[in-house]
Amino acid sequence: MNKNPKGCSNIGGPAAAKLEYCRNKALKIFSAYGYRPFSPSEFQLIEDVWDKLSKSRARRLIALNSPFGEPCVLRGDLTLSAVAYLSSHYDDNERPLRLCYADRVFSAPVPPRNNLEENQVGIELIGWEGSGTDAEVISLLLRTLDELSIERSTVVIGDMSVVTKLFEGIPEDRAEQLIGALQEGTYTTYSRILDDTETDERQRKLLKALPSLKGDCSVISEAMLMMDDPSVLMPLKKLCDSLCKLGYSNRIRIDLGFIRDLGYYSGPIFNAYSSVTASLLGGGGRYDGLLTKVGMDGEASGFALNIKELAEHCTDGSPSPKIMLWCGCSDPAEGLRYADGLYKKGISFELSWTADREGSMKTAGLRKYRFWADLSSKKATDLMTGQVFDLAELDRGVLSC
Amino acid sequence: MLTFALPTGRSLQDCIEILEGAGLPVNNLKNHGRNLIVDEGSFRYLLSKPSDVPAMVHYGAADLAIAGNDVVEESGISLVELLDTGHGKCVMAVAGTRAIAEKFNGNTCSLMGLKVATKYARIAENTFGSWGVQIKILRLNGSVELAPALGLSDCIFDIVQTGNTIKANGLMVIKETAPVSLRLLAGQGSVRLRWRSMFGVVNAIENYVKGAACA
Repeated sequence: MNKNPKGCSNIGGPAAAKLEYCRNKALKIFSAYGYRPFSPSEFQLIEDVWDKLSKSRARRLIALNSPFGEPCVLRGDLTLSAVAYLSSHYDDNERPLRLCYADRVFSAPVPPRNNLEENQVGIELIGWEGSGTDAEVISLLLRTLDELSIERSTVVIGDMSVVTKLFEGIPEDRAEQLIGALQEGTYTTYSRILDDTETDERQRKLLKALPSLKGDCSVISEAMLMMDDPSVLMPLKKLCDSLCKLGYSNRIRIDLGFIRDLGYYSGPIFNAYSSVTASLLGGGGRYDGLLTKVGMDGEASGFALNIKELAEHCTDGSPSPKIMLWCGCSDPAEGLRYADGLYKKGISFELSWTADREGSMKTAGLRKYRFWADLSSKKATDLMTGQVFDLAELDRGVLSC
Repeated sequence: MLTFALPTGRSLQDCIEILEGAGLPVNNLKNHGRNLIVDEGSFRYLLSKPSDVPAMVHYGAADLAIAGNDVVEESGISLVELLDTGHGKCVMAVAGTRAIAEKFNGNTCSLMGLKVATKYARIAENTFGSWGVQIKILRLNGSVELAPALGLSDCIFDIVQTGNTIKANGLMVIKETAPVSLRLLAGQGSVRLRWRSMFGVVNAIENYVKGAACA
């Protein structure tokens, strides 16, 4: 038996089928919304990614030298790959561009996890699209979760541009420490640093309240009353209004002290959580600043969902084959022709070529197939009831249903 | 219903005091016997080994928890630290013999390769690492003070409350590295999804803690 390296795992059986189901279903939705597939390289040059990620995130990259002697990292972030590709492969007039992907990302794990790799599925919308960009991206995320029957999920929205505005006037190093504490969730440290920071009373009161400005969309109005210039919250308010009009008001939470750790976000940011277990399903946000870093102007937003988490929370699954078709005593061409007919009817099946009739039926039972069919005798067996009937009857009746 | 994860052992009494002071129901908790899950009013208390408390919150079994920041930091699990209760105060410190203490007065070169006995391997590595010192860690689960006496380590890295155990074993506190106390914690996801239902409880605990500090 091959032993996997620590932090890596092989996934097979029903778990793999579910992963594949979630991956395919998500890509199908993205495709219907005009997102085109993108398959990035698994290696990235260190020089291309290092200064575009936050320090804490960059430190988790897995570095290695390519056989050509180039210092690389295993792809730690799909957005960076997508943006780098678009910046050099498309003209301005070809935007906006909608990309989707389903691929792996690699990074050093954060306890208590120890996985080095994660399967992600996501989208990137890059280019000038006006105020609809964020609404499109978040509603598509919610739509994807709905399609995967993960309706008991919530999207928590914050806004990096609001955070930046709120810390205006505070010395840069202090603001960095305060934002760092918010990101880590160490509110006691945040509070202590704030107490030692010189600022006017109104700003102090607002910043003191920032970690607790969480809840439904009414939090935005609450925060507006505390601000000298509430207009900074208007884009977030409009975004929430749009999502509420789509019927998502119960699935949206606002957290004005929310900061994502990737380091390149500059507008609305969001995480999706299971409402049942509160586990993180994925997230994303607006990253116009990252475009500037690669020499592009415009707006960009996207999200990535962890496919393994989706599979764990998704109650649907890909239908397993219904029927095992035993062709052990038949001409292979006859078996394959019958199989082709089943495929055309959209019925999933598995072919069995063994000469051992009993063994074939036993395997079908172990795999929990409903029917076992003997092509030579033209008989089928319902493995749940033991009833035997003509294959034609199975074909006409049960399978056509 | 809000679920709290609480540490068993000597911190539990402090936790009960905090919860009671904040007006939460704790009668059943005070007499929990062998029960590790205690339901009381609209609260559920999960009692677990102190080092398991962060995982209870991270995996969503509990919405809130009270645990020492030493335990949280050692677990490496990222949780939201809502409040320092100020209870269970002690310090994280390096302790050793007088001879080893001398080494700490010199430059850090003399500390390279120091053998450190501790149950806080992660924090020890980070702390010494931040001084540019690489150490050899001897991971023990208790009675850490024994290690220098048996020649297993040069010094220990542990929490110190009164310092009596340290002294009783012929050691002295060489360097205090971080304050430790019981903190009110929540999971990153829970705090965002259930803040409105947590808020009242967090506020009540904060008011009690502030009041106790003033008194």
